[in-house]
Amino acid sequence: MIVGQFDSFGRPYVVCRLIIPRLQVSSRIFFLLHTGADSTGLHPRDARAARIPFAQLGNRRDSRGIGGRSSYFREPAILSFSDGAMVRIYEVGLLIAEPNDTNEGLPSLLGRNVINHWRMVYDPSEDRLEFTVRHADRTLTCSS
Amino acid sequence: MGAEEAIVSLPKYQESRLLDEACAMIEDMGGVGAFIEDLAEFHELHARMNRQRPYLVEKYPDKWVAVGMNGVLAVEDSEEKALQAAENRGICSSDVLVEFMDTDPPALIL
Repeated sequence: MIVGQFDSFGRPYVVCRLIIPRLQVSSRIFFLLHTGADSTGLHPRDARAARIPFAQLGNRRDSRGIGGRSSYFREPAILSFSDGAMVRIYEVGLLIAEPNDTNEGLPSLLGRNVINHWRMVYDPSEDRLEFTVRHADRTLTCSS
Repeated sequence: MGAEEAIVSLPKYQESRLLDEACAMIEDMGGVGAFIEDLAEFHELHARMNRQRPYLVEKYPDKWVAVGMNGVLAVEDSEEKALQAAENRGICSSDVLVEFMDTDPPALIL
């Protein structure tokens, strides 16, 4: 299974590797799970750490949230998760936030376009955050 | 269309050039085993930061703290300075977590 963790504020996170071959991006991301998010979004701190070249982004989209409207760039991307001895891989349309004062410092969000492929055990009282994969676009094993 | 024609064999996996490229990149990183170890290390780095946060907030209130697998690497007034100080110690930025030790963290509602 994929194992996540609760941070010291009790927020649920899971690690993955973000890969965008076109932009030569390969970076580890600590995603906040967000079942209220339709899509997965990368926010400025993680985008900087991943060295996203903003000048090469296009396909601008608007989104609505608690903080109002935000502008994102939609980029085909790969999210890869460790699942025991396997790697689970998903192709997604990643929303990369255009940096501004309000989204600075926000965690990146793993949305339902990925979460919906998992069965989740969400049990903060037992410090358990686990995911059983129902579907992956690709699965790699040590022998594959 | 006859019944026989409606039967198609499903691919074993999703066909996609992007997926092919990503799989090749994972192979270049050392394969599945190395990939899993790398993510496990990142998971543990975050877990350590979370375990230590109450202590770090008390010791370094409202400072930016850089933490690596061997503990605190730098304490500075800005994220950039903390990351730079960690890099000056020869630690790659991808192996460092830099976080603000906020004594009054705002609630996060997304």
